[in-house]
Amino acid sequence: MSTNTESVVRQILGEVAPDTDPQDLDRSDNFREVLDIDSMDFLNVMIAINDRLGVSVPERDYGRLTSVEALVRFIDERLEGARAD
Amino acid sequence: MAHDFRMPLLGADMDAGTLIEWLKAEGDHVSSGDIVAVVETQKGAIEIEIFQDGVIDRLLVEPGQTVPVGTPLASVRGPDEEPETAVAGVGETAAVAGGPAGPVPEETRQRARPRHDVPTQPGPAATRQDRAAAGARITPGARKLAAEHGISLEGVSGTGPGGIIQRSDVERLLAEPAEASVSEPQVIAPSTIEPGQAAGKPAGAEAMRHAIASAMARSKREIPHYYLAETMDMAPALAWLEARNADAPVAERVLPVALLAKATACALAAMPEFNGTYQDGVYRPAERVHLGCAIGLRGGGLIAPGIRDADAKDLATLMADLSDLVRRARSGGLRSSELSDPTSTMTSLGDQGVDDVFGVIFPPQVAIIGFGTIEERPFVVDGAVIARPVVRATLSADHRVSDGHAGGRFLTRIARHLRDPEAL
Repeated sequence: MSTNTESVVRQILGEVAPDTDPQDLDRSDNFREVLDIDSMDFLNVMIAINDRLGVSVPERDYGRLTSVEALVRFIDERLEGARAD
Repeated sequence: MAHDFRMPLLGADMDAGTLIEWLKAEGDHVSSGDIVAVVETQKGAIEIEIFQDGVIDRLLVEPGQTVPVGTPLASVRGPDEEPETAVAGVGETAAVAGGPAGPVPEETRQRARPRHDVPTQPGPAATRQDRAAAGARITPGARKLAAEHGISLEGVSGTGPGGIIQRSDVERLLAEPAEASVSEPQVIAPSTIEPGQAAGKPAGAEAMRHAIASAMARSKREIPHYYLAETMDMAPALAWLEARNADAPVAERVLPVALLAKATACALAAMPEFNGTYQDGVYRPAERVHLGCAIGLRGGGLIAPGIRDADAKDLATLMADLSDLVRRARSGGLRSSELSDPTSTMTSLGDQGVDDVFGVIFPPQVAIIGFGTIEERPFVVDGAVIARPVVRATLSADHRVSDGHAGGRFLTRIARHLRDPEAL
């Protein structure tokens, strides 16, 4: 798992939930529940990921990206795929 | 004829507000809709708009002063009138060093003023020069955050539009090792200090809880609520949204809540008995639909600023407005008109997983529309039971103004709009 992707994701989560410490979050935690993130916040997370990492997450994949681990893996796979092209 | 610009009423339960900052100076021209000041209330720092064209004659209240609703804050003359005989502003009554002009002690008055070294206003020309020299503009959210942490924003360059110092700039400063940035002891903004309150407690949250409590208690005391619920088919709406979002850039994706808001706003436009204000025994239906959106604040608290003309906006604009409102509700920067305007309110607790939310009406409004989670339920289509995404919509309405029959028709109207999202 790339540390850069993970640190960007954690930073984004921290911006959306400024009263929490996303460094504390376990990779396997359901971050939406733990950080009390609603659908508007989640969309903002997706927008930030698109802006900063260049990866666009399709809506149909939202449901399974509930942990930092899942999100980072998804992003890394997309980035790999883009590099391979 | 000069009209006084007065402390506005920003919520049914507001008694007083504290002026934090003037954004206009004596002699400045103003147009209707201009933001002229920032005021601290129980709902946080709110930007106050003026609704007349003219020129600011005299500023009558100093930053840091707490005054009752209705108190003249500034005198304003019409655009073509002559100025009054030149009288220096508020600073006349206070020494330049800032002797107290009211019950507020000096350090806290200075705390309430923005951190760009503008002295007590000695006169219009000096104020304008000082402001130009100081340069720094600061958003309410940034100011509040800096004040909470006792840091100075002097010499900070902002990364917001036009160089304004915004919240993220303050957050960045806080993350850096402290370089003599604490210049004053941490003091909570004066308006939110209650007697006996421990220093360091989040006074803003306490004040907001109190404001919500009094508005909700008043609502239940005075408004005879009736409640209706309806299960609405969301399959056409979600399919339409999915297709639309698949082709759009991430930043332009529309959430289901925006569709619910549009459908609600259109129903309100068609049925005025749910869109207006009831005061002193008289119901006044509103001419336009300014839809209040109940927004939960992180750490607790609720605020319901309005999207103006929600029925007339296209979905993309509505979504952008909603997103912007949520951001400013949570970080500061809401405007007075957004709090006092709403003609009806919507609350959506879909993200929590609740089925129904029966809201409490925000006086002096007469209705609140609630939406629960959108999820798959057994649903009958053509005689067969299938799994279908549905949402439970509710109406809490004032029985002095409408009856259940109208309420039922109102909800059905929303359901009909949701079944035809293309037309919204």
